[in-house]
Amino acid sequence: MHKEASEFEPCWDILRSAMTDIHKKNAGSLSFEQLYRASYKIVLRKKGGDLYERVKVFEEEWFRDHIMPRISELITNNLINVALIQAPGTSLHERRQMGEKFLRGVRDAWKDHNMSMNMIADILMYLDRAYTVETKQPSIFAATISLFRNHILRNTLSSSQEQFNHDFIVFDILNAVVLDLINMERDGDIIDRNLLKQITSMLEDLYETDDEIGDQRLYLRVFEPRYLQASRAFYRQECEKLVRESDAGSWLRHCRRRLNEEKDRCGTTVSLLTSEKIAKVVESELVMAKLAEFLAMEGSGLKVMIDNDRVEDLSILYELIARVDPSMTPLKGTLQSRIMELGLEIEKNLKNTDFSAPSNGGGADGEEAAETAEKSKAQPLTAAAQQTAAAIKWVDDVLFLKDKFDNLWTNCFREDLILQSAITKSFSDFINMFNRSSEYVSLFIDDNLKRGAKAKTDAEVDVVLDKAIVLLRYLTDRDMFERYYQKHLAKRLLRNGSDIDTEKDMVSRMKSEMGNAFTSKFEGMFKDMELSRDLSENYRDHIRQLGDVDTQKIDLGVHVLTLTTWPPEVMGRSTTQEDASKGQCNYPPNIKRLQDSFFKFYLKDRSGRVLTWVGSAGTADIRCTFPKVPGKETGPLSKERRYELNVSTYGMIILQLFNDLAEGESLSFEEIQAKTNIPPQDLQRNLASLSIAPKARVLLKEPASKSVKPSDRFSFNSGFVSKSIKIKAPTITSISKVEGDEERRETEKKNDQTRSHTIDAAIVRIMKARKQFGHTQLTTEVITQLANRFKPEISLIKKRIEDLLGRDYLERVEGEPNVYRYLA
Amino acid sequence: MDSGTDFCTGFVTEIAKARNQDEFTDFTLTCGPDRFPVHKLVICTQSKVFRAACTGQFKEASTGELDMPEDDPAMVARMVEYLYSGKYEAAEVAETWISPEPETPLGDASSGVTIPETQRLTPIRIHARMFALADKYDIRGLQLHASEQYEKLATTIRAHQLLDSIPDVYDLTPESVRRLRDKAVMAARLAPEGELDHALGNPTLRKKTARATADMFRAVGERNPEFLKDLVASYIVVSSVRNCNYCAAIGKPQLQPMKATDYRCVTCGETTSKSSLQKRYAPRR
Repeated sequence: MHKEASEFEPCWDILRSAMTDIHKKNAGSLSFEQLYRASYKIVLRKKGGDLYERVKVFEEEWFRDHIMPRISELITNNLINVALIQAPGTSLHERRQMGEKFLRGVRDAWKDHNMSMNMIADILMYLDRAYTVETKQPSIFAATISLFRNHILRNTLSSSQEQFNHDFIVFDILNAVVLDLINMERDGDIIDRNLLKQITSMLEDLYETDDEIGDQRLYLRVFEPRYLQASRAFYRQECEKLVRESDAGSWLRHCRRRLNEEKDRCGTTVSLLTSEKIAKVVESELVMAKLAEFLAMEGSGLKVMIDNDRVEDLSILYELIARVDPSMTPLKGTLQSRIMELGLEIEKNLKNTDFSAPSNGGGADGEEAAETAEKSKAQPLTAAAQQTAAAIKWVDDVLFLKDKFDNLWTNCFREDLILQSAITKSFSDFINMFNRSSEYVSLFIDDNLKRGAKAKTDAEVDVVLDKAIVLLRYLTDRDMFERYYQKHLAKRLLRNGSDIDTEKDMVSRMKSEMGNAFTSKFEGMFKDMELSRDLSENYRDHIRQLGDVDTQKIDLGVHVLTLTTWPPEVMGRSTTQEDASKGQCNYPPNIKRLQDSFFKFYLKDRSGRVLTWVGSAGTADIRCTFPKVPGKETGPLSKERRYELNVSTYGMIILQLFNDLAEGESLSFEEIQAKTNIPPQDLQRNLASLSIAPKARVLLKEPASKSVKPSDRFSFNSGFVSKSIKIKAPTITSISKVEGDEERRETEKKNDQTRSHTIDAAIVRIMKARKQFGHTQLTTEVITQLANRFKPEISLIKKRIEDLLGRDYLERVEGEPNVYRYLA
Repeated sequence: MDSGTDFCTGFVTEIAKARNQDEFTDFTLTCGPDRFPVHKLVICTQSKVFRAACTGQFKEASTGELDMPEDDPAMVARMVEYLYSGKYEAAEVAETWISPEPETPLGDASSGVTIPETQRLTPIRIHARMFALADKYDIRGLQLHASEQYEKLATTIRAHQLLDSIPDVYDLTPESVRRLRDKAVMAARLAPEGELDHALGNPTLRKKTARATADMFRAVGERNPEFLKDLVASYIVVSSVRNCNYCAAIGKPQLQPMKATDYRCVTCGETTSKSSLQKRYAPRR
């Protein structure tokens, strides 16, 4: 034992002198094996504890004598002043020089110490394995590396200066210098990033205690909190400055740049451990802190970005908000209110134009014409056409707005689902706030389909149809739309004014969007048209076979329309008071014969049916001959002129009256009306078409004013001249156009009636299934069932329930005031 | 044999071949008169000590040579053999290594580390020494291998041979390294029984043998008191050791600690020998 003990000192001597050499960087000639063996032997001889302690003592002494003086030298009073109390009077450059010099000194000391400790830990490897681990002490490396923490970083400097009323440690200076340098870089200075990185790595390698517990790195425990705190202060200040001096656009770019910078800084200067935390700091201090102020900025805020399609700004904004608030609340609100504003603006613009518009066919006054000229550069339009133009403009504007926001959504908002539903909701809201939206959408489709088949390519029509469907999706009052569309479609079909394939395409799109029930009427109309075509063919064949050659050679084309699928206006069943008395008009005898013949033919296969002739809906092609005007030897008037005139059925009846009239005779409005029994309004329109429009002025009017009055007289215009053979008399009608206020109330009233019935049916259906049901649930259920057609008003539902109670469909349950029972 | 195993076998063979032909060797271990050219990759991946020597900033790293003046060349040769093949030869041969004069005061002629001039080492002692060498250079695989070999051999040899290896086991590693010590103690507990078996049916011889065995233990105990301490501690923890057929059947060592009262296996809980005991002591009908 004695001998073994005596072996310790020689071994320790070897080790000690080797450790000195290592610190002095003279290790190159040392034999690792010899040193390892020396420590191995000591441990084998059970002297590991002694060795452990001696190494620690040796290192502490070395530290005290050789390293501390070097560091202390660097900590000048000047440095302390600058770092801890930001004493004025030092230039930025000076401050940086001084700070970097200090850090460099710390870094060098650390590098040396770290390297030496690694080498010493290598030669003492057996000590760690067989002694330190067994006795659960910190490894020799941990125990010696931490000297740096205890003796340098935590070295208390009791400064001689009076301005410090408390002691401070070197670590404070180190942190302050690092943070100062980083702030310099943030302000645009160039600093020694590598140096800072080495310092922060050092802090990552050092722990609070020798146990080296992962989350007790000095970096995480001491440096990082201060770094975040300093950054927070920096960005808070910067944000305040920006909100005072800058605009939202440059703020956005600044935020983006700062976020990228901080991310880079974590890689190059501090530690990646901090990336997320520093990002949060920037997000909260720079992005969120004044977000509302920036978004509300006059001239550069969110409103301006949206209005001017500042795609880049909005993209950045989206990215920033997506980082901090995935629910998009700040963006969503403004976006929605802006859509509402813009949507209501569209409506307001229209309303300004619409106010002076007359309900129908009257002459346009000057004021309105002026407005029309403003609105479109085209020729002054008729009042009705203006209405259509207004509708088209509304739809176009809405679609334009929609395109704009779709565009922003795709290009800036990364097709964010939350924003999509927000945008959709706002569109739906303002569209449905506008009480003519259903009508206008239908009019828009009408306009495009009417002209579409001729002027537009399939692809263009396709786009239009798509857009129409987009708008359709927003509408809540779909029953209203159905009503208008039915009316417009009827007009197009009867006038043959559109491409039937396109029509069917549109309807099938609606079908897939809104279901079978919605389009059943439209499909019925298509079917009627097809059957009618066949019917007309068959009738012609039938006549030919009969050999009953009509001397007048009247060719008949008939549309047999099912009463329920076609709109009542077209079917001549208008419910307006003045038209209630309207009976059948008087057809000329030749036409009457034809009608009877067709009716007979029709009933052959379908006995028991009733046909009503609707004069207001048909057209007739009339071949007219205008005799040579006496006294004219040259020009078109010198010859006999034949024209094919296309007029409405009423027009045909009117013109036939003049066939029987002698030259120079005339008929008054009342006379015509008495003879034909055409409803006065229709008559007025048709006479206007034949006597006012220069293109087809085959009748002369006395007096020759621009509107038809009941007192006017009409005569045959023998001097009529036209360049084309085929002439179409212009239709002056209100049916396919925008409604006037009067008609509009009418339509709404009708619609409300239909709605009442629909609600009745829904209530009865529900009660039949439930037998007994509470008021609130019933209301909810009704709304759910009808959601696809329209949004019923609660008061209306209540009224209908009361009505049904009165009609003994339902009864109240005794004792439970809000519960109803179904009565079979 | 799958391709993975093929690959490993082939790989090992090729690397061993490269050493034999001194190809690509980049480091040399020297020991007494012997030089062992080796590959850093092979030795450093298996030993942190060699790794530190090769990568550190000491002399060895620059000279490419590590001298082991106080290790037994025959043992170092076995260590290198193990590093390249995963095993070593331990047949009994005449060891004729002459220890050099210590270069430093480190050497101590009477310490267990130093080897007498000429010595015949039994295989069991070779294993014990290989274990110590593995511990010194931190070669885990070799430590495991040597201790397994030691254990295997320990139960098959005579008591005096086993006790011969005790100084090697107790002197060459620190107390904290338990693996081999535990195995040696366990083997030592079984050894007397083996000795006495030779004297079955001969009470006189049995008595004599018992006395001789006890003397052997006493002698070793004087030389290595820690061994005796461990032996006593072992009896306290495990009072009895028997063959357990259940454990043997599932691939564990057949020798298992047993409760002294009912011979229940501590490891598997079964009473293997119960039936045989019952049979043996059943009253005759």
